[in-house]
Amino acid sequence: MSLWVDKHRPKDLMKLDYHKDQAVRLKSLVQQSDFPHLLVYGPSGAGKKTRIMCLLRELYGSGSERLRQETMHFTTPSNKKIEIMTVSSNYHIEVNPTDVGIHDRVVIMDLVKNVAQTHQIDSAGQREFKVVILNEVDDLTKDAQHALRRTMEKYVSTCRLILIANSISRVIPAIRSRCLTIRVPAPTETEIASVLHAVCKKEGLSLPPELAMRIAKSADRNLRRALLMCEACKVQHYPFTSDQKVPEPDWQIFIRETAAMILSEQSPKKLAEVRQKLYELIIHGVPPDVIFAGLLKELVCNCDMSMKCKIASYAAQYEHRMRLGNKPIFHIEAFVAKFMAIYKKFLEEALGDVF
Amino acid sequence: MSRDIRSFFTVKKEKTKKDEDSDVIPESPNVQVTNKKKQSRKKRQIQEDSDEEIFSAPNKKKKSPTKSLKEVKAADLFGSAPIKRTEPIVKKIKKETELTIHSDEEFEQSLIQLDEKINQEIQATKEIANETLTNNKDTLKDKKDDILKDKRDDISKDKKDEKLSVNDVTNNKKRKLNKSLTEHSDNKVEVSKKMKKDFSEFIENGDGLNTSEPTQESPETKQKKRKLDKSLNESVISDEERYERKRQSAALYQKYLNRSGPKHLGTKEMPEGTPDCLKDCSFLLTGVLDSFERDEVIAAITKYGGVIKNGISKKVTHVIAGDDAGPAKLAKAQELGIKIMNEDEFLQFIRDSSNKKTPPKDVKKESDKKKDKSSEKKREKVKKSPQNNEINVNKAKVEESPRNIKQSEVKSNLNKVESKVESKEHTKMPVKKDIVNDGELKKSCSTEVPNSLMWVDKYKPKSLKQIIGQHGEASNVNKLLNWLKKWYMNRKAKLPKPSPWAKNDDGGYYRAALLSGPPGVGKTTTVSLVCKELGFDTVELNASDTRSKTLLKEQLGELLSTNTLQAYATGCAGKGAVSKKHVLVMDEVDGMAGNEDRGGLQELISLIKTTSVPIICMCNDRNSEKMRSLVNYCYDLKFTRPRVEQIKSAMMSICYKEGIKLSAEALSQLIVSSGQDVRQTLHLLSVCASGLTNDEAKAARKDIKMGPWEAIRKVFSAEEHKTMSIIDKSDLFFCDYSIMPLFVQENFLNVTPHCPKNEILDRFSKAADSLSLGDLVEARIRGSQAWNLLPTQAMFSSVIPGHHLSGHVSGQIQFPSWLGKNSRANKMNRLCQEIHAHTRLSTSGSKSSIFLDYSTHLRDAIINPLIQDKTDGIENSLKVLESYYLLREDLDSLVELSLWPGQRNPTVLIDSKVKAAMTRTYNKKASALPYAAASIKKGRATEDGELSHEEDDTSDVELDAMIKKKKEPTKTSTSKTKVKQEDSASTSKAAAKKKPAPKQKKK
Repeated sequence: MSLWVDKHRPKDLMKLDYHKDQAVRLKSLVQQSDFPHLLVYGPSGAGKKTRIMCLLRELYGSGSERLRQETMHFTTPSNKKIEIMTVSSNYHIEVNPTDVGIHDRVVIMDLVKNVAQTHQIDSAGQREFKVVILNEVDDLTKDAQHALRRTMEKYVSTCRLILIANSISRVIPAIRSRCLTIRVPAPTETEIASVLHAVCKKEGLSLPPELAMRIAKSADRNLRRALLMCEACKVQHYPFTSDQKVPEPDWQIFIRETAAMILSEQSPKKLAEVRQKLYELIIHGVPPDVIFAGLLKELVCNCDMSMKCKIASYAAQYEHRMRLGNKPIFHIEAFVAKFMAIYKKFLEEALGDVF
Repeated sequence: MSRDIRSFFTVKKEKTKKDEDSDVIPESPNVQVTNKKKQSRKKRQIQEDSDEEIFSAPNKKKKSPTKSLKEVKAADLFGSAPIKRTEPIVKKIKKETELTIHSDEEFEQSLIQLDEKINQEIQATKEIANETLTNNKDTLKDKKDDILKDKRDDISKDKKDEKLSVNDVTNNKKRKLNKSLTEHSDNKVEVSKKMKKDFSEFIENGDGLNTSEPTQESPETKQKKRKLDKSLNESVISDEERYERKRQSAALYQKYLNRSGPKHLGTKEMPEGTPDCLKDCSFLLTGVLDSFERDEVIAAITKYGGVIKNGISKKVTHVIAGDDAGPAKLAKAQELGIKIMNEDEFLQFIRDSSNKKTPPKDVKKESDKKKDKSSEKKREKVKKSPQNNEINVNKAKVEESPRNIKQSEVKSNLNKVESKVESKEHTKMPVKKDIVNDGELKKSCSTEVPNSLMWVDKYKPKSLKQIIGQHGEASNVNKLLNWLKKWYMNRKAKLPKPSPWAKNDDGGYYRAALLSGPPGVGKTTTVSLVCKELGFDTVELNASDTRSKTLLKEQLGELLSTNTLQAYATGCAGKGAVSKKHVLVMDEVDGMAGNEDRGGLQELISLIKTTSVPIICMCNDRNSEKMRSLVNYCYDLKFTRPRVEQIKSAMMSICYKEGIKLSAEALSQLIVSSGQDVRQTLHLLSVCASGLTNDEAKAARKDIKMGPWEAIRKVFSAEEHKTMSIIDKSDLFFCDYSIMPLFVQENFLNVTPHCPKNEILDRFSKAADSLSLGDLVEARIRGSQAWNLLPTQAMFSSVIPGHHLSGHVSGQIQFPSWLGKNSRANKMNRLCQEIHAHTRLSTSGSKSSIFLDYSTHLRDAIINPLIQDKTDGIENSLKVLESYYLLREDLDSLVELSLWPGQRNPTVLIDSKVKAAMTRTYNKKASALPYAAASIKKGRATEDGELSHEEDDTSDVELDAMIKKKKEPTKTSTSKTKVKQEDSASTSKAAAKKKPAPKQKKK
């Protein structure tokens, strides 16, 4: 008994609920003999993986759905043994190279070589190539990305790469230019609402349209989140009512609390408390950029326009530093300190005007 | 050092002479060398002979007749005559000879006084001397044959073994003495003369060096003094002497301890005077001087041409009185109108008189004073004992210096002897010359030795009371003293082990003590003094010894089961001589490391368990890993650093003694900068003595390894910033560059910057900004090994925040929480990755989507049925688990992942019965997983770096795990025993692990 989000995942390109023209284009791509490397990107919960699985099914038939998990072992040049979990069918192998941290280069080189060096046994009825799916390409180290670009060309006859990324800004141009980039935009709220309706219908439930819209809105255009929330709503209160509470993710609540703390008082002491909250967020795996975004979104609500620009630019600056640096907390903290300083000054000036 | 040895040596000689039956004197190389030196010296002096011999000859003769006399005052007899510098030596010789022969104290007393007289009135006694000389001649002829024999024996012996110890020499002399005694027992006067001759010769052979050096006089003077003391009941006893006696008897040592030495030893410097500035002055020393050892003063006086007197008389021109000066002496001095001066006046006197520049009467002497002196002495001796001293005579001949009549007479008497001896002498010559050179070298060294002593040794505590900061009743010294005192009693008592928290534990249970504390607080000193105090004999092993297991076992085992013969060596024979009172002192036990000392600590512990002697261990850090095992077996004595004031008072007195002018402030600065390390402070002081100003002293600081805890305060301290350069500030960062950024980040919010209130937040944001830049630099450093960027990071991560937030840290310094948080984050990440891997087949999201979205919902999907439907919900929740290929353990991970602070753990809502039932059912129906559960577990373990050949086996294990699990339901259903069901999970896994083994065996 899976969750709805997995239970009702479409398995055929043609059955996808949105971006249907893109699905059609992909199908025609498959039918051509020339299948390029793909770089699929888009925000989380937009349906990239679903689309790729459908594509694989289109390429190889249902055989690609018979998945198995394997652990592969590699040895780094420094003689460290690493292992990584892969998901594979007869026709493709999927791997998440960032699982091994800084050793991702070894994984990419060895794994792609392994796969690419073997030909399909019965190439007659099948494709001549296998597919290697690499997840989270934008989090690959630069080394790994550079290792990738040579292998992509070298083994093009026996394997195709499908790269999945959230954003291509951190994928080096050399790779971008070697791939057909496919953007999978996040579904609109109406699209999400319609998917929710469809799912509820399959489940035999009736979902009020208002509730569907509210869920879609609070899900941040993330279909996965929307479906999970919808199911949670159902658990909480069924039959649905249009004004029932939509359970928000805990981390979002937490970020909002943090922002409220920052706004409530600007002092080093408060900053120390905020730091504890930030640590908690980081411990719970909330990506620091999400923290940045969440904080900024909450904080700018209380600012006038000129300050909004200032804050946003600082947020961008510190987020950039965070990406270059090692310890996210340093930069988030610096941002919070900066905001506090600016906001306090702003408040004092405002008070000064009053008197 | 050499001085010590010499004095030691002379003392022993005296002793052996006194109690002629106890012949045991340790043969030491030093002793042998001096022996040789003495002989050679004799020769040299003779070569330098001049016509002054006349004076000395009568001296000797005088003695023999006067022996029978008693208490004749020299002043009465002879009045004041010019004083010769040669006298100290003469005195000594006579005294020693007399001492050895006559133990009668009164007689000795009279002799001493006679000596003085003799010394002073040489010219007056000329006539008498002539008479006695003729007498002498007669007796000489009589005894010629005997003497010749003896001499030959001697010489041949000398030749054979030049390293002949003093012992042997003295024995020889004794033998000779005995011979002559027996032969000439009828003629008492002759006998005594003879004896004198023998002994003077002996002394020249054995003691030549001593007599020629000013410092050598100390023992004689002491001895004389002692006699004086006895007769006069004066309490003045030099401590040098006491020091020597100390070895002989514990009782004496105790006394010595009670008496203080010079209070401010070494604070003053003996002024440089012109060589003859004290000429014509004779001094009497009484009492303990303030800042000089008696010997030093005596050396100085003789060096500057003065004469030392031992009894008060008109001849004495100055009395130098110290503390506890003999009242009788002082009274007499006043009576005679002799100038009494204290130490300072004496020093001033030297300065003044050296400025005056005494008219150079004796050009010869001035040209090389010392040599002259010694040669004079020799000459005197030669005259005293011409018959015995063929060697001297021989030399004199070679020199062909003008001789007086007496000398020539003597020569004629000895003609035959000379001819025989000459050949032998020639062969001896070169060797002796070499030795002379050595002797001279040694001499020059020996005069410098007292100054070259390091202050640390110079001012080493000589009694327990002098140890800095160990005065209290509960001080470590007292504890150790008590512990050691009661050690043997406690062994019999068999005390129970005290609880580690017990207060006022006297350590009775423990067989060993562990002294721990920072360097320079006096651990080793304490131990050595305590052992001395209780009369324990220490066997010390320190880091310079190899202390491996076998060595400890074999050597120490033997050592500790033997009896000490120390008492024999120091001459107190009898019952008390043999004692078993050892202490094993293991210094620097924390230094027992490396291959050298392998197994040493374990062996030490086992030694402690069975030891029959007390063991004292010392270490710096008792909390160190190495000490952990040892600590349990030891009476723990922690030495802390003495307070600044405690050290300061002691240092002040040293400063005073050494004449260092250092302000109290600078001194305490020195002490603080050395970290209350007494030894270090002393070293610093001795640097100060070589001309360090107060300012420099303040700047001087021990290079202390500062920890981040201290450094972080300085980073933000406005006070410190005033005196610190930017380099100093960045040095704070470098005390540990890997952790300092974290320390700064952790603690910068606790800083109270000294700035206007409205600026505070601005400053904090600037500091935080700088920290974030510092993180960028660190990422670059670590990422591309750009270690040359470290100074840049120092600026961003420490100096700039410190500058912006210059103020003070309010509250405690916290350890960086980042480390803990980071490891927690890593753990969460690992859990999440595991869940992600398990649910890979059924979900599409990335890892972060598990964190952000799935975790809560998945958890609820599993738990809610259990909460709502109790046992009926088990089915549903298990279905969820199954559909996501999750393990039972993953549920716990999920709960952990999704639990935020302030939230209630939803699992507490589950009835524990339901939970158990759920676990049971899960184990029962364990379904096939797409991944190998065992291998996943292993994977986690291997992250810790233990990946091995077992890798190959894991495939089997995996297979088995799966097979097992599939079979499981059928198996358990057939057996149906509850116990089995409950255990099935564990057994299945255990079986999975066990199975490969038998398989392999089969293979």
